[in-house]
Amino acid sequence: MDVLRQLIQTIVVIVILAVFLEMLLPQGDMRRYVKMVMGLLIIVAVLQSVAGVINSDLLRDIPDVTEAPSGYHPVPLEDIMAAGQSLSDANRQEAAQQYGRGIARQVMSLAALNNDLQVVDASVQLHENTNEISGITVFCSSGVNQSPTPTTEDNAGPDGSGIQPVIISTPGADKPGGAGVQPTATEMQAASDIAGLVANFYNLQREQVHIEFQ
Amino acid sequence: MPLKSDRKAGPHKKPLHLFLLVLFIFLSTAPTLAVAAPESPVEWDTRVNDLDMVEIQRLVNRMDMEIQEALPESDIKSLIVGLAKGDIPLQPGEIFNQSLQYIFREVVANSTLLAKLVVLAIICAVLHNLTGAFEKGTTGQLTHMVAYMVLVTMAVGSFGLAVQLGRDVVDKMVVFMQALLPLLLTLLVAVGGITSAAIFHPLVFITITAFGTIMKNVVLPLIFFAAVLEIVSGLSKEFQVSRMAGLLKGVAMGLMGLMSTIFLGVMAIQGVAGAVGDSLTYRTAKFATDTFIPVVGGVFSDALGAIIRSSLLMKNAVGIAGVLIIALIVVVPLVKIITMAFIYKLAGAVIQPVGEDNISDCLNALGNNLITVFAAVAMVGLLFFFTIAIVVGMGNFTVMLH
Repeated sequence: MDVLRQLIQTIVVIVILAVFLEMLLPQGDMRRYVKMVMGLLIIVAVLQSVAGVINSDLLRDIPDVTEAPSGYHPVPLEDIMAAGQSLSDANRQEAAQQYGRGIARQVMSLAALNNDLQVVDASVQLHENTNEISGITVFCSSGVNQSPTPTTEDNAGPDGSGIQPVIISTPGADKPGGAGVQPTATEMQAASDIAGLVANFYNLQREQVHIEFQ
Repeated sequence: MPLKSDRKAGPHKKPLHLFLLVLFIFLSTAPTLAVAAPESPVEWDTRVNDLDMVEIQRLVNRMDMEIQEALPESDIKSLIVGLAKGDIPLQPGEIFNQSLQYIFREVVANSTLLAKLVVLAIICAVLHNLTGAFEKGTTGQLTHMVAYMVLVTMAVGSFGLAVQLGRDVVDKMVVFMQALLPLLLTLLVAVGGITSAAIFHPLVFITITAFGTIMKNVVLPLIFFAAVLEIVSGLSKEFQVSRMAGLLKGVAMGLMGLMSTIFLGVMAIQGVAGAVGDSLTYRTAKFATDTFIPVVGGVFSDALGAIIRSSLLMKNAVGIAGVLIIALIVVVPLVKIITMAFIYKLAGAVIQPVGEDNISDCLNALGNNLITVFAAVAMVGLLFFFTIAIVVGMGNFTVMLH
């Protein structure tokens, strides 16, 4: 643009000079000659600029075109990707939590179909990366459908609540654990049924479904 | 020989009309988008706080006071949350009224320039008519020319200021876009547009910077040079360089058209390619989940989809805030430029009956060139608006294809 700026300056000077000469010169042929000479001067100025542009390195200024103004440094793609991925992970985590809560509610509804056992809660464990179900734990309360057993200090749980969890990892295979709560045979059978139902419903291995008595 | 710049003014108005129409549509639909926010205010605040907006806030704080006052919220995070929740109503009628008031204020502020131009033109006309009274005719001519030069110097001075204003605006818009786009691309990645963001990143930054630089360093100076040559042509009827002025103006306009076509074409095509790639990746994963996890396979992807949509809403709010700020950056100087053009054209129209064709044509040509400057700056704003719209729309498109 400097070349063009100089050309415009030259043309402006030549035109102003031509206008002054036009005023100062007497009427006659001289005016026509002066006008022609001034016209030639403009042509020379234009040609000189064009020659200058052709001879210069035209590609020299091209990299400057893509440079950010006033020393501003664009954010690298890696940073953008990392920030976006972090947000995406947070979204995924939130979705997994919602998913887990939704499945837990479904499990509770399924388990509630069995009247022999009262289901208190359910929790779902998910794989971190694939978000597939890795395990389901169903919390049941023991002794609801039978005569209540008085709680003594001997069978009180570690939290002093008198309730000891009983975990059935594989119904029908494992023996129920827990010292304080002893589920009845009916409850054990119901737990086994629920575990089988949940495992089949969610296409899981039976070992992946746990029943805990409280 | 009269200058024939009037005919060239018509096409320049099209970008302005288009810009205002698109801006109007975008701003008038913004609250509708925002009202769809399904989340609680606390959650919005948490989500906004996760985003890095330090650079944008710094730029907003550095803006002119009148732009900051025009913003509904000077705090960018509050602005985005307000837009997302629909708390900030953008009333088109109110915006229109305020714009009219601002234009009127600018016209009144520039009335001094108008008065100076008219008085000098009248002096020129009187001197021209008194030429015969001098002993030598050239004395009158010389005096007339000196008065003309004074007028032209004054006009070129304010014209140069307008061009410089345009260059500053382009610079500000480029810097703002450089700060806004990383945020939009981050949100694009968050909604699953990883390929789109990877394609957009180098493309959009290079295109924006190149477009801004060419507009600032080539197109606007070319318009200025064309204006100078048109003024010089008005000095003498015998010695004309109006064709060269026309050539420079034609090159400027052609370059502007070419750049905008390339800009929009490249952005749109690359964006769509990225969105399709992203949706393919997402759909493959979704198919695997839905197929191999019976009954509840779709639950996770549905839950993720709902959360992604809320991120999308956030991205749209950021986009609307960006458009709003770009509009304010560009509108205030554009109003100044168009007011100045109006003043020049009004001065030319007022002077014409006095009998000074040269000066009238010169002022008219300056007015037309200022309208070209206006069109060039508005074109930059419009294309940056399109860029934001494409990046925001690309996120919507990606999620839609999910």
